Amino acid sequence: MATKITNYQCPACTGPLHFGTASGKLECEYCGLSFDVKAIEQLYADKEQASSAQPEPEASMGGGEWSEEEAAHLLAYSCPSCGAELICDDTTAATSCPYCGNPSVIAAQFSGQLRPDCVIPFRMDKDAAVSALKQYYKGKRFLPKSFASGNRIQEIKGVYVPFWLFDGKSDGNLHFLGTRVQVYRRGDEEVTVTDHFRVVREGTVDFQKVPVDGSSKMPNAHMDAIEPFDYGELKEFSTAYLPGFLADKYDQGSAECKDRAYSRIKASTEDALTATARGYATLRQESGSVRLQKCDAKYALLPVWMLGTRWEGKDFLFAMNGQTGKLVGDLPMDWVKFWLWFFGISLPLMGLLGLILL
Amino acid sequence: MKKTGLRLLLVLALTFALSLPAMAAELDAVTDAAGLLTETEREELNNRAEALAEQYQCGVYIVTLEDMEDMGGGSDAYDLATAVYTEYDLGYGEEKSGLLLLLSMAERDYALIAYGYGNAAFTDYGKDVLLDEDVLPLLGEDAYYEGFSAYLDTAGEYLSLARDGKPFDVEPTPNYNETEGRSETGNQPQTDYSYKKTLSPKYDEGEFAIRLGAVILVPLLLAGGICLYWKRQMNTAVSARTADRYIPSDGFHLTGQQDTFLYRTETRRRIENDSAKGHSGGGHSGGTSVRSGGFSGRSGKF
Repeated sequence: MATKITNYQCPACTGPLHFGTASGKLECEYCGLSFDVKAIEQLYADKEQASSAQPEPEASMGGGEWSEEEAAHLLAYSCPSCGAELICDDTTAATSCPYCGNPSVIAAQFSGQLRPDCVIPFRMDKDAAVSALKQYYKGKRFLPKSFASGNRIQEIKGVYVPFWLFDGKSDGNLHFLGTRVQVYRRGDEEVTVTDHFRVVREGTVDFQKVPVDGSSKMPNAHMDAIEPFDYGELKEFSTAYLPGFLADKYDQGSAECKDRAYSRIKASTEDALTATARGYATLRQESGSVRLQKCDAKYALLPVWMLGTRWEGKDFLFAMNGQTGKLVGDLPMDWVKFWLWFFGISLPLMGLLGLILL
Repeated sequence: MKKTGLRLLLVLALTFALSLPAMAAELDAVTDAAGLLTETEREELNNRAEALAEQYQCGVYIVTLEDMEDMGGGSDAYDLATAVYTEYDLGYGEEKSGLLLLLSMAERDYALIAYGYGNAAFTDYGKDVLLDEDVLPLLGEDAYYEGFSAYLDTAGEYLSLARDGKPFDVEPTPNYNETEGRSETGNQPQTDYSYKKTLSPKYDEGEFAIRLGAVILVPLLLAGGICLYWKRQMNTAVSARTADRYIPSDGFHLTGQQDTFLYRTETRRRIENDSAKGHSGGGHSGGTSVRSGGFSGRSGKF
């Protein structure tokens, strides 16, 4: 396996290049120049071709202090800028050197079949993520007062999360029991006539790019909740979008993630078919099946800001869509506030209703 | 045979009376054209009704018919009752005060109407209680003698209360003073109405419990709903259930649908007359609603 690290450097001053979220270009923070992604890609492709005859440094484990199990999931690289040894797990694809801070891309993680088909570049920068988190606290009536002021952002990182985008077609066949009810008055009796029907609905539903994250490190609920991504900005994959951010290769394959996609597709197919059974007072599903006729997956890297905070010894994790800025996460509850609001609303209402009704 | 002939004659007479202008004819206080009573029962009830009329100066009548449609009186028992009352010149004294219970057996329709002083003595609420608690349950079981007997008993009690200036109602009738000058004769029935007088003037205990429940539960549910909505905003990292947003606009194709009728079920429920709701006063504002023509009352099925 190729283990070469690419450290994108400014062609003018050799300073480290970062992907600029606002400009969509690779920017040098030393000389201020910016470069088109394709131009840098071409430059480094030429360099790689020229050096392809030379032997590549092998990834190695950094000593004997790691257990065999740990060592099986760790790889060591040399930082091309300062020569420091970088210890990464076997899914890390882009990182930054803890010594010199230069962004590094482990191109080997994206070679061959591991190469993503597409990528959505970051649009939101770190400041936007911090600002979105502060905004997220606002208007939360049950948030402990000390949380917003007392907690500190422990970690904030922009990550290209590996996603599988499933294209597919489902085939559904549902059987219901439905009733139609007619009520009329005859003399001094109310007559209710109920007609019972067997209702069958069959149909197909096309799906395009249902996203399922392929990283076991990422909480599924967070990744689902930051949807949707604007697929209009999907670009052909290039490692040149990665400098300045972290990136992981997938550790859950498309076959493994297919079940999650199927579960969502099945629910949508059932909803769509059920919606066509109109005119029934009640509708109860008796049986049915939803099959996937075809299901193809594309491998994409999607931008996510992960923010970790700590408050009163507990960790809180938030995720922000790096493209749209949608932020999700779970906040701690102040139950005293909850009950104060509950009785603060209900008791005056009781008094008011009592005056009206009693 | 003689009784049947009399009945036939009465039906013919009624038919004639309703289809022609007023004619000089007289009805007994209890006229049983439908033949629901034995002659002995009819006479006994008739005597009691006449005694009430003399005692309280307000006629109390019972008329039963075999078929309302054949009488040419239309399909409304109330209209037929008012027509019978007018055409047969029913009622006591110049004011023509009285109370008439009419039954038509073919349709199982009833009507109870009051006129003159009867409007003051038999309030809307009083008529409802008389019908729904005392009379209709018995008539519904074809216990006609018992039903008519209960009708006369209750009518006597109401007339007695009215003579004392307290007509049976949810609250004192404001206009009752106009009738206070009536003479007091005979013994007053000793009926205990205290349970009815203790009721709230606005609603009864059952309704109070419902209102109290609403006062407590509605705010709790509302506050709970609002607080749970706010609580949900604290936890936004939620797994997606569907993939709806990934279905293209023309992505759904219905390839087959079948709606097969299996069977039919039918249920029936007896509807309570709106005016009879809340026998203890619910829905009543007190007093008597007198319609055009000077009659008050209601009709329905038994």
